[in-house]
Amino acid sequence: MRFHQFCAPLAFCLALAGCANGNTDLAQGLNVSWSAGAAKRIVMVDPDVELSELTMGGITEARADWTATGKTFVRDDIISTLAAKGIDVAAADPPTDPREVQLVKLHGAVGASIFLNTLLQLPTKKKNFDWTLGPGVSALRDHYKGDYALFVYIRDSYSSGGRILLQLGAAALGVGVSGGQQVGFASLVDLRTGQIVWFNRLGNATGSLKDAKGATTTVTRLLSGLPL
Amino acid sequence: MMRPIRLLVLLLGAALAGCTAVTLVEPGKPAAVGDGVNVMPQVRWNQIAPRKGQTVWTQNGPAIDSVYFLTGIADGKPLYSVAGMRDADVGIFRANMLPNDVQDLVVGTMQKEGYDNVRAGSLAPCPFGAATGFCFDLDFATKDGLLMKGKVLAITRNNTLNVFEFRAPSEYYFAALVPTVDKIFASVEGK
Amino acid sequence: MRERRLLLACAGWLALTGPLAAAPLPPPGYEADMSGDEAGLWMQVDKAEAALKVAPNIVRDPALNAYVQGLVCRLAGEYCDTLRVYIVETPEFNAAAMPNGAIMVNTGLLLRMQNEAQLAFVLGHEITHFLHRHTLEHMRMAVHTGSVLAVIGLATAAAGVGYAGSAVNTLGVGAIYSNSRDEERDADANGFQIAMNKGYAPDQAPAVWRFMVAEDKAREHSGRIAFLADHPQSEERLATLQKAADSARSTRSDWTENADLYRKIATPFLSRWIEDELARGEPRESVVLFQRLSAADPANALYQYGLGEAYRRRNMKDDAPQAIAAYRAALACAEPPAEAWRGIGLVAMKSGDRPQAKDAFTAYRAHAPDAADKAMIDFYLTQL
Repeated sequence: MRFHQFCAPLAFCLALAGCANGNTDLAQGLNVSWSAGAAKRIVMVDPDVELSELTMGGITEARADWTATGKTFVRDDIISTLAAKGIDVAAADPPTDPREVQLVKLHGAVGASIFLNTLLQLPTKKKNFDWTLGPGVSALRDHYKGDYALFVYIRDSYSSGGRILLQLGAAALGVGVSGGQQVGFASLVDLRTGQIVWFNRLGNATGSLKDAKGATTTVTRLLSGLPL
Repeated sequence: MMRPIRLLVLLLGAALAGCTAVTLVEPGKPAAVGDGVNVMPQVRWNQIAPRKGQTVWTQNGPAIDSVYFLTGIADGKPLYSVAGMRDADVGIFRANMLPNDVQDLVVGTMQKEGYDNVRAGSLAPCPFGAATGFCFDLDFATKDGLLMKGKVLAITRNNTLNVFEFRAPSEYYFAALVPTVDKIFASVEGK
Repeated sequence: MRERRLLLACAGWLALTGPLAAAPLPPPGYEADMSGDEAGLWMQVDKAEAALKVAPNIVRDPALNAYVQGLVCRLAGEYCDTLRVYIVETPEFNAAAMPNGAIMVNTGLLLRMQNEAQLAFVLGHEITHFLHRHTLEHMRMAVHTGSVLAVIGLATAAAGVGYAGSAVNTLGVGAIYSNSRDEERDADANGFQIAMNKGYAPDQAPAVWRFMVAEDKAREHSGRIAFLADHPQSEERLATLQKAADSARSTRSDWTENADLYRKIATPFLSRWIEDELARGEPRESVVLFQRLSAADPANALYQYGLGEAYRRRNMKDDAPQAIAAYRAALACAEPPAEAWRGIGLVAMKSGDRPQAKDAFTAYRAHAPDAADKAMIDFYLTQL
């Protein structure tokens, strides 16, 4: 089932970049609630963060060192941001239980759909932000004892020195050459129902995840509007 | 090996090219899904860019769930095109195919489309409107390892094939939507 | 990860200077370079392995894993501990060694092996890629994300932003990297040595290439068998391996093939792997495959059944009687699959031979009372 026969895909103008300041979605009628008689606690699913270098030739090469530190910054910033709100964070390991594995993969598909929906609006989703992972999320709840789960996805590329020179040179000639980009989202799932109660898209080119200060900026943007 | 481009990517491209419309299908009245066949939608559906012989409905977007109405597939044609493959290599329908053959064709086509470990089961005769078609279940996985389930209703008549196919993740979505899909399949009327 | 890579580097250094005998010594001044693209690759490969560990189509059967892992260990000597085998259920014929010591072996490959020697030569080849730290300058990573956003990755890649590096292929489709010609020759030569040193019959090495090439020739459309796509110049390499086998053959008289042992290990899985192979929807290749397997092992009911199915699905002129013959051959073997009856029924029904179809379907239902498609077969019977 392919539609390419009708519509030749045009150059994708990175509508994501067009949403420069990100976009927050909130489930309607959201009532944040916590399990009685316990500390406020959320599960932070292992953040899916990857930093790469955009070389002069336009190839993206993953950088292990930047990724390791960037991921640590993101995790630490999330934990401290939530601690400041009096919320405990259970930092989940990458899942090994088959059910949890499927839940994380399902979240990927749902996240993709939410993203896709901003470009190709589904009429049934027009007036309501209504997405769920289903009640199977109780597996995560039972394992980590949190009321909500936070998913984070960031892909960040940074222009290499050569690339920056190229960009400057090209700009002088009036030609656009793409620089590093940042794509990401965060979502909050109610582990009692499976509903995605909050979804935030990161816009283009925010703080650098290569240093602590830049990471704080990114995480602040990422978690802006978090209804906790 | 050429890899089929994901439907999603093409939808993105198509959407931005301004030539894909997603329309709303309202319940309460019959919806035409091709080849003179109508079904009752039961609930609201998002309908993606119908073209001759192919209508797609989805609740949450094709990355999650979808119902494909493939109609009027003629002898010598594949169920649908797969990017980067000639029709003959995707596998073609033959008018003298038995239901077992069509089941194999659906499985083989899905494998070439890019799904993994596609298995079919529970092949049985099933009503297609007033006529007798056949139905079977599917289990498969996306390349990312998301486990999926499917349900197919099909009929061969007048040397052409109609295949209705529902796909959704195993986790939550298939079970949540299949009662509605069953009612849709049971509501087939028309030619 | 540091320790592994150190060991890896040692292995490479040693391999350049001699056989796998000596204990590893680090080359002077070696230091892991976390800022290099090699480290970036390692990160992705480690991620790929983590995803493999939880992939739904990893075969976890302890006996099969012990067997393949054991074989890898025997071939790799003291590097045994650095290698981890993952058996992936996919009908594509392929195996690949990742730079971090993870080795993927597809069930499609295991189906095609006729004996342990053949598997040993394939594994020897892959182990060599790992041991010799073959460079990854031609690395291609298939783009499939672990948990998120294939859409974004692909879409942004299309826009030239390039997030291709973010994704990992975890489900055994194609190799993770491809090597230079010299590296391939090295893997052939050294892999051949490794397996031969353990006593495996040298003729089995070119035998594998020969049947792979034959199956590949049966492909009509674009795209080679994955193993061949990743290991090019097959004619040349077949000739080289054949020469090597010719010189080595007479150096001993007690070469190991272990066909019986291999058959025993594979038997519990054959039915499923054959179903997977047929599900590919490539009957021309399946015919070539099952012709070879059933010719080498005519008493194997499942190979005959597979051949029958392949002919039936290929459905070219004269395939129908060939299919029936193969199904009947299956039924004449010990422990024939009930599906052979179904196959006869389907062929007979389509060619209008109602009595034969009726008998065959009746027999199928008798031998497989709980068949998943029994409702359909019963329906056919009402029409005959």
